[in-house]
Amino acid sequence: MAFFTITAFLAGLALAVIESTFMRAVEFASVRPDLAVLAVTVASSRTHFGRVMMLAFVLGFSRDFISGGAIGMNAFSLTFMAYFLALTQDYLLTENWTAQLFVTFVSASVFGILFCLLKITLQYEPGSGYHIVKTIILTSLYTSALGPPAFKLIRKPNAPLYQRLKLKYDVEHETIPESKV
Amino acid sequence: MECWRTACSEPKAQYDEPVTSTAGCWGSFPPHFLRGVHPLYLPDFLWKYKRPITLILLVGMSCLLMIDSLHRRWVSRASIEIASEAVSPLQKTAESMYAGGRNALDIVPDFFRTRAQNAALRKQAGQLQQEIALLREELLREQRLSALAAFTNKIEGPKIVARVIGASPTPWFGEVTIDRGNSHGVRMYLPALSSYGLAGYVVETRGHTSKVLLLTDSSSRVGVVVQRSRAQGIVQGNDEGGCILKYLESTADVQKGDVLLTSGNSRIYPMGLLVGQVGEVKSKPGTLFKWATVTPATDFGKLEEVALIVTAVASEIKTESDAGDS
Repeated sequence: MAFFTITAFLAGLALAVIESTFMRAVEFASVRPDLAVLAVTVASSRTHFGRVMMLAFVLGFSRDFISGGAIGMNAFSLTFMAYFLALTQDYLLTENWTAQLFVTFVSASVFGILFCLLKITLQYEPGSGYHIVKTIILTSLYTSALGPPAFKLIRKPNAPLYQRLKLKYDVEHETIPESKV
Repeated sequence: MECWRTACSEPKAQYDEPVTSTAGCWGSFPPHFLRGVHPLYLPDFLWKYKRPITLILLVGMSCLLMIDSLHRRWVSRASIEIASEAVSPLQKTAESMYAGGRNALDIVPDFFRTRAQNAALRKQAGQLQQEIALLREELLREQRLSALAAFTNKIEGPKIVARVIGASPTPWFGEVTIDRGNSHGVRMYLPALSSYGLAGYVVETRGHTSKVLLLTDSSSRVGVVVQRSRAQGIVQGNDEGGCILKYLESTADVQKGDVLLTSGNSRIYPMGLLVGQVGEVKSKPGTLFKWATVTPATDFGKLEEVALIVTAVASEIKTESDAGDS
């Protein structure tokens, strides 16, 4: 877990640097796709709960180094978002592109809403309501557009989903899924 | 041996299975890196609520970080240090790579944009040059007209300023056409002046144009006087762009560089108009007269405007000429 955490932290730093530099090339209407959200969403479909939570926390924490605001804001929002994803993963299998699009859009929206709420709570200037709503929706749309390609790219070809494997394992060993306990 | 989990009836041996395949964690469950690793012992309620507990722990840590950051304690200071020392060079390198890549990608559109701009600027430069040339031409014209007006103001009588609109198409006549005619009050025999001196006189008038016979035409004759010695003679054109001073007495005091003025004996030209300068003086032994080359004051190659002096003498000639015709 320590190795995973360090790797995730370094990857998070690299991701944050990429977001702050290269992603400007694909900026559209002052909105960029959220790579950290995308990474956590894709990872949630291929690894277990603990890792997803840790990944979300570490990615958010490393992003906090570069982004403005208080340290921990991204970590907080991403962790909550990962928890939300973990809850939905028990009911939704992201096996087709529609589900992937939907999950990415919802998770990006959740992250945006949480981040805005946190910003307001910490008494940062939130900006106009129109701007907030526009940014959340456009960012979510943009991120969700990258969802299916990211799922396809990161997952190995013809590899079944983690959830599917887990379900199969649970059925074969006649155990009750842990989330249902 | 049974598993420690109360709800789990799996034998513990499954966690102790050796790793036989390194195909990755996607083809089997649990993943290879979890095989042989016994999970941590947790009380039942912790196991049951492990997800909320994980969430609370991580979120709580985030909150602590935020509180620390808002109060600018050690975590925030350390993070700023890390960011400035470690992340900033990375970010700078990435930024320069991004800028380099962007510049490389911008070469093609920049080329076409620059080419279009170049064409537009060339066109604009051409238009501006044309405009400048026109304005310069206007300025020169104004300067010439001012010089002409300054020169002719010294001469009494009304003047008609005219623009030279054409020269004789053949080399046999030293004439120019001006853009003023009968309708503008131009009459025959009106002397024409340039801004440097005498140019000729009007030999033909039409409704809106007239013809001026230049001094350089061989049919033009002007009675002149040498300004310095008051010696008199006749200046006649030589059809070669110059004039000859004829009928100078052999004893006349004429030197090279002497200024020639109209004598006023002519019925066309009033007295005192600058005609030119004496060039080489020539004479033949045993002859009554000597002669000299004359450089006209007016540069006929650059004649563009003339001022016609409306004299009473010209009107008289016109009247006499009309009477003779009838």
